[in-house]
Amino acid sequence: MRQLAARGVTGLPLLVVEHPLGGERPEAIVRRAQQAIEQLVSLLGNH
Amino acid sequence: MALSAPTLEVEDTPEALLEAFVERGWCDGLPIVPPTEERVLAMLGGAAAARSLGPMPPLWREASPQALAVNAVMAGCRPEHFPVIVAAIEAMLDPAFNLYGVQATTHPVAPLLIVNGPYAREIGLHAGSGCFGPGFRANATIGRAIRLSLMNVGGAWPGRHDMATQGSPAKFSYCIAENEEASPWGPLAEGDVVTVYGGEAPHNVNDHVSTTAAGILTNVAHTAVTLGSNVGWYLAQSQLLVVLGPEHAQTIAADGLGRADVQRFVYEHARLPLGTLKLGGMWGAQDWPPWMMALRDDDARPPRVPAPEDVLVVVAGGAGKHSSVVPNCCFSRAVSRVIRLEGAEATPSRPPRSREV
Repeated sequence: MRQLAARGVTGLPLLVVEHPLGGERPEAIVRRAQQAIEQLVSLLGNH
Repeated sequence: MALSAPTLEVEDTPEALLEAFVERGWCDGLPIVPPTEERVLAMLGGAAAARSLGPMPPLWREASPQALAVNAVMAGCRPEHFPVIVAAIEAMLDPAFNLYGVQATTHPVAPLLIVNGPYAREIGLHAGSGCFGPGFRANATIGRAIRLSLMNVGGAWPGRHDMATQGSPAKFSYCIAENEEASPWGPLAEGDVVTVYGGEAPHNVNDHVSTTAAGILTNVAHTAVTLGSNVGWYLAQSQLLVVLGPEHAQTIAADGLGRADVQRFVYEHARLPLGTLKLGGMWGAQDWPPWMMALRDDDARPPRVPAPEDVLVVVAGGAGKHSSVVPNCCFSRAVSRVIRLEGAEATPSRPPRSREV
């Protein structure tokens, strides 16, 4: 959030993908991707 | 000239001062020199305090000479050290250095300062025995001032914005001069110049038996590439720094090799078979040009840096049969700046001698 403030875009919606990604098995990556899509839809719906 | 920063009043004892700074996350855990207004003004030496050198990531706060001077005082610098710090920070803010990546990565990268020219000798920057280690005020305090600035101005605190998994002792202080007198090939950069290089801590090259250039450089090349190294996975920004001890450098030069020959040798030999690369590291995440991605022969040995010029070669250290290799983080390129002694401002330098672009 402090980085966003410093760049003058405090209201920028963020899509957060949980760490770590490296070393995860394909099914876990697919699950993260699905969660990211859900977040994205929600973020787009709110703006 | 007066300073614009707010002041902090602390009981006048070393212990209270350290506690106050540690509590606020303003230091590296070691004792500091109190950055009083008088000391900061002396450090600035007439440089414009508020002028911005640019926003410093990851928190993008303005890197002003005043802010750098506060950290230089805390680190124990003398005012004559300050122009090197300003030039180094300006070099790090060059987009080619990718300071955001260097500051925020999980990799244990730290900016190494390599200082060339007569000013380095004048201010006592050490290039001889033990130059990467303790005991030399200019090296220790300039390197520490850089780290304190990266933390206090850039906001890269370990675990918060500096996400290094394990960090590195090189993150305390990482600054040497080149041993120009001992170099058979002249300095890395001509004149009073600082080069910043985003590197790991030095990897030792022990060779007490080789009496030829080929022997020593084969050892250097073997040390330069391991499956666990970052170098080579993101090829376009991968670089290797070879720091030759003077005795190794003399042996190599006695066989008739120039700097470009050393670069070519390491470029050609610092490689791993494709079959080995497939075993771990960052296999599958590599960013290679199409011709390398098309390789199928497990015995093929693709390059780990884009060109021979991406093997930087300097001479440093004292007596003994040791050299070192400093792999970079693979997402930052070395940048040089001339050290300006009037007004503590830096100007772009020609790239290091070993990178003729």
